[in-house]
Order: sequence, then C-alpha cells, then structure tokens
Amino acid sequence: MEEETFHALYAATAKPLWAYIARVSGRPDVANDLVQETYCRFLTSKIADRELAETKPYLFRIATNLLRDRWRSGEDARWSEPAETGFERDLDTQIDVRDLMQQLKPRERQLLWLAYVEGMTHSEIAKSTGLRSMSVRIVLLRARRKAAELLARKERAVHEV
Amino acid sequence: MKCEREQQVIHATRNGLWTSSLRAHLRDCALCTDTELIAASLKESAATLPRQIELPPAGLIWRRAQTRGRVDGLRRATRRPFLIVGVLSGLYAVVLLLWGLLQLPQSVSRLLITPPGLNGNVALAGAALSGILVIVGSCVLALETRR
Repeated sequence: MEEETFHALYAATAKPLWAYIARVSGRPDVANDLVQETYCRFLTSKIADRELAETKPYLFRIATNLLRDRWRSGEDARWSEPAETGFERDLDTQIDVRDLMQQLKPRERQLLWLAYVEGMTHSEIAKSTGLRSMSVRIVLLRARRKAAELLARKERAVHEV
Repeated sequence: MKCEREQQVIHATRNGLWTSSLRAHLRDCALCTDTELIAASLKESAATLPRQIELPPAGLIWRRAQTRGRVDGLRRATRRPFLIVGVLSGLYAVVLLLWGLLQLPQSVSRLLITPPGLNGNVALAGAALSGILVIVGSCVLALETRR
C-alpha cells in the first residue's frame, strides 16, 4: 500500500474506528492506543492492499481482537468500566447512551454499534467480530431487546419528571 | 422475530431519508420502532464523539508501521538461519559428546594411575567440556529463536 492511499483510508475510517473502540471499551484513552495499534497491525499484514470495502471489516476485526485481548489479560475489568472523562452527556433527551452501553455486555455493545451506527449487515458484522452469522443474529436480537427495554425505561422516567 | 424492513429503518435513521411507506411501517411495527429508538440514540451518541477525538497523524502511524515492518522482516529473515545453526551445533555437540564418552573411561583411568599422562588427555577433557558448552549454547540459541 502506498502512503497516500493509506492517508485516504485513514481519513475515511479512523474516526468511526475510534468511536467504536471508545464506546465499546468506555475509555477514550484506550481508543487512542488501540486505533494506532490497529493501523500498525493492518499495515504490516498482507491484507493491506485490498479494496476499502474489504478493508473496513478487517480493521474492525483487528480492533475487536485487541479489545478482547485487553479483557483477557485483565488490563480492563471485563464488565465494569471506569468513569469516563471527555464524554458528553446527551442533554436533549436526557438519555445517556453511555449508561446504556455500560449495562450491556461487551459483545452486545460491539454488535449494536456495528449494526446501528456503522450500518453493517449480519455477514459484515460476522467478518468484523469473528462470530458466525447465526450467532450474530442471536446476540444482536438479545442486545436489541435489552437496549430497547433500557431506553424505554429511561424515556418513561424522563416523561415522569 | 425479524422484520424484513429493519435494515431500511437503520439506513433511514443513519441518513435521515425516510420514505412515507417506511414511516407508515414504523407506526405499525414494534420491532422497527425499537430499532429506530436504538439507532437514533446511538447515532446521537456517535455525533457527540468527533469533537473529542484527537487522532494521531496518519504519517506517524505510517512511519511506525514501516519501522515495525522492517523489524518483523529482519526477525523473519534471521529466524531460519539461527534455527539451522542451532540445530547443526546441537548435532555437532551430540556427536562430539558421544565420541568423548567412548574415549573417557580409558583416559580417566590413565589420569588416576599416572598423573604425568594428564597432558595427553587435556585435549579429550577439553573436547568433552566444549561439547557440553555447545549443547548448552545451542539450547539457549534455540530458546531465544523460538521466543
């Protein structure tokens, strides 16, 4: 891959990738580190010369694996997160998505983000996470149900206030 | 439970392009209502993020990857020769040690009986010692190469 091509790829994918890592890990500092590591691994791999459409799921796959490695090595507490600094609260709706994400399992957060923010299909999510398409469907269904329930509860609470 | 139009709802939420039929569908489909609620919340959450992002420059990552690539390449290139040298030294050491072991009983007895004959056996003892050292060395080399 040429340096200019990489610059274009970076400009197109770095922010979504950062947002994904930040929201799934709940930590912007982790996102800063992992974004760099993801691109370094990507550039030293053999897949670096492929098309953008193929590249994007691969970048998310590397990032997902790095996140999983952190959880496995205990660098981050797996299901609990430290208080975030630098994230803004959603003042308009009073629905804090960060709280919602904290109540979901990491795998559920990953899938929700990829499906609803990145707009990935089940097969693209499967490529990005290493799960089978069937597992993606099941986990996503469960995550969506849980998220909808939490959001509806918060909305009700806001209306009552 | 799955709705065929769920993906359309996600895309419409992301792009803001709602068709009238999709709006009408949203009113009747509980599943798509949930989908729209989640997608809108996450989209809004994602929209607050770019202001905080301080991404490292692409050039810095590129240079770092180039350096890492060179180091990895060097490691890959030297791995096989190191391994071959390690294996060959191991073989040499084993042969040398076997030869030394065959010679050793006679020399040891000679050493014990006639100390002046020590000079003649120094080479043999040295060979055995060097054999042991080579074995230890090749083991260390093999371990380092694997690491």
